Amino acid sequence: MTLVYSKDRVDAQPQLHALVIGCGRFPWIAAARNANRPACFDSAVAMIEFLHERAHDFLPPLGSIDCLLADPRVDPDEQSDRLPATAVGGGAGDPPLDVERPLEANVIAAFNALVGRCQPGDAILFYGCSHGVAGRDETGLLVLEDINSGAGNPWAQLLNVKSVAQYLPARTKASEVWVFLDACQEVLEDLRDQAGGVQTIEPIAVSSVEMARCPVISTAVAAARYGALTHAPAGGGVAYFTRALLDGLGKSCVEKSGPEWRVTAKQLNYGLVDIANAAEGRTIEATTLTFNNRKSSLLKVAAPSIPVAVTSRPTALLADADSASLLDETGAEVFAKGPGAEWRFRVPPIPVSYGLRLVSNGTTIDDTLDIAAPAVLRELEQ
Amino acid sequence: MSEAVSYRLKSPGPSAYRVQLVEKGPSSALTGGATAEALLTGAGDERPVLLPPGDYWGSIDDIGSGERRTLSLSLDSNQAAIDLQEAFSQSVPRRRSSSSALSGAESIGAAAIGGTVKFVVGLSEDRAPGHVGGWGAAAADMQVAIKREGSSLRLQFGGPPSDRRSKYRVVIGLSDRRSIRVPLPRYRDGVEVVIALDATLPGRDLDIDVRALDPTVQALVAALSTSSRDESLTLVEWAGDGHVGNAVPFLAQKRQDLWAATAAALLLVRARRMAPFEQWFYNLAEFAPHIADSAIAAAWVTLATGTGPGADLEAKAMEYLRFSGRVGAPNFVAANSLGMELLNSLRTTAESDKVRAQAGEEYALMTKRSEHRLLGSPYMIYSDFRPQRMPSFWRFPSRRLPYRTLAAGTTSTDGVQFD
Repeated sequence: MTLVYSKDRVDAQPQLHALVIGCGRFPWIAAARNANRPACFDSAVAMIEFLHERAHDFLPPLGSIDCLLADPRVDPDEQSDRLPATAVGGGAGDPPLDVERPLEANVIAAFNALVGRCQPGDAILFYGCSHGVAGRDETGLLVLEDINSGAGNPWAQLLNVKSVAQYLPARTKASEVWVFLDACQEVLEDLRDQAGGVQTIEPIAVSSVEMARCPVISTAVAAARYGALTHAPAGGGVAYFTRALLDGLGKSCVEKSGPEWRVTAKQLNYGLVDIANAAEGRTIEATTLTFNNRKSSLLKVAAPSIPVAVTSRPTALLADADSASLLDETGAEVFAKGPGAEWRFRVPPIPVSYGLRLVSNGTTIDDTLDIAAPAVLRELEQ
Repeated sequence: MSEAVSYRLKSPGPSAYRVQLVEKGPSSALTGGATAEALLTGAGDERPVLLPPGDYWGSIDDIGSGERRTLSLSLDSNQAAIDLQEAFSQSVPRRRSSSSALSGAESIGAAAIGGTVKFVVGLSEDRAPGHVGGWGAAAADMQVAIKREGSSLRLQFGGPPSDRRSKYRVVIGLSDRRSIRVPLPRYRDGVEVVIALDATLPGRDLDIDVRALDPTVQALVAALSTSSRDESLTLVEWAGDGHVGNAVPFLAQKRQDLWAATAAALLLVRARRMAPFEQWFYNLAEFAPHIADSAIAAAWVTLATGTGPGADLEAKAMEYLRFSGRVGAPNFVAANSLGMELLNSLRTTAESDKVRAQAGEEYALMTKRSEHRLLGSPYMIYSDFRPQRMPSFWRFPSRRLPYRTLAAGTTSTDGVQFD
């Protein structure tokens, strides 16, 4: 484990404990298979940066961040993997922090340490970004760095994230457990034919009775459905699911709770696909690993905003329009569309109905745009 | 800042609604000012809200239909109630985004076959659930009202008592290349299936919407996939209005409507609120052996509330799950998720080797069935069209689909033609 952030508990108040795994390097897989993914490391760093930056907004406030990272741009025989100091509040000139690698033994130790840090009533956040696979029956398996390191069972180093989501609440008595998995769920020929199913790493275990009696259900969102792939920029950068997740956590997956806007489980469960589409026009998948749709709150957001994308059918309706405007209740223009067939902007998540005015070939089309978090996708029709 | 006033927020109609009001104002232009949220259940329901007088934006989500309406209203300090009925009727409903599970409709991907596509819609009945070869054409006493509405087909089902222990499903065939199976929940007050058949139009999807005719039941079912835990409890209690004095009357009076009772049971399992109603769950599983979902709920209750050694509870729960597997796939997505959660746990942690092995077999079976299901509906709708990017070991299910034909025709870019 590498605790890159730790804050003492004040007056026995509950805390949020985070474990982040970013595995972009697979040294036991032949280089010819091109398995390394810098985006997995970069995405994990972005998540750590977000956690640290918003430490006091979490409910309860952040108590610790543990991380295991593998950067494919680093040769582990030459030097340690390093977390930029800026990710945890350091200056640009500060030395980076050496971190441990997401090897099987380290991952098990990190989960044991996580359970040790967590007191009843605390909350837990797990984020993992790596390759991901699924067996014939098993889903949500995160590939660890030392995959293929054992000749006897080359597929031994698969972390069963679904089981973590399922059993962590009962094992820790946590008030909330949040699990985010940015990885494929690709079904490989090697795995589907394994006798007795894939044997995976399950660092957390409880009995079925304990699980059924635990009142807390994890909120667990994965980037791919069973059998599907996820995507990221090839040369590094934040993976697309994680980009939508960070948008959701930071600004858009919100509901109003008294005077505050809060990021809730319900919005995270259902909102990420629309956020990616509205914010960047990108198609991602998102699926839940557990059956939870509670209005649990993860953090508060002081200045929420949600992405809006307006398109048209046919495409030319918007692309060739002389003008397109978003109007407030008084008829004043709030946003005007620039060139192109799509129109994207962000607005506060208040449930207001804006006017939409499209002028094309001397004809004016008036319509409305209803705002609802976490994202708005609107297709205008002629 | 003006002082807050207590208003009675009145329900806009007979369904269940999530209502949110956010105060307008220049000082709170970015994030809104005072706010109130309420879940209103059924016509006549009222909830108190505390708000300062002023101008408000509002949104009303109809949990049953998945539609959203927005409104603008002013509150003054003299009024006692906020009646949403008029504002609701004057506003324009909008479906939530199609990719959202809130839509209630089943979007299953464009047929992408091109040209003219023949379709046939039929009704099958399994008179012996759990036994091989039970599926056949539905008996004539299963009455169906068929309405053609543009390119859509609206089917309303009535006929034999809803507690007849048969399973029914609507079968949709497209050009002999694809079939879709829609489980038919036989709610006491009826169920309708709406099929939008304009699948060959560019960018259009084939939509299937299964809907209970009783708005209360419809909201209950929609809540299975869209409500929060607290909302689930409120909805279960509301769904019992008009029944005799129990918090969960649908479950208590299960014989009146086995399907609605099953939905209520699943909602309670989801909310982890099974005690002190345990016996009703077990009774439901006994009275509704043709509804695989009821045994899954009973398995959860066994583990969550049963007494005795853990190994005995696991074995009893496993029996329910095995029974459920023999009856067939669950009808509700919620039951499928709950069943898989339990089986996944039992196959890895059960004390008995035998239970672990049985759970492994059932889990594999349930996983295979789940692979064929389509997304977005609270019901387990299956397609034998190989979805894009499904694993290579995916196999088409049996081609034998005996059914009673309800409608047939062709669909193309020129529209839908019924035979």
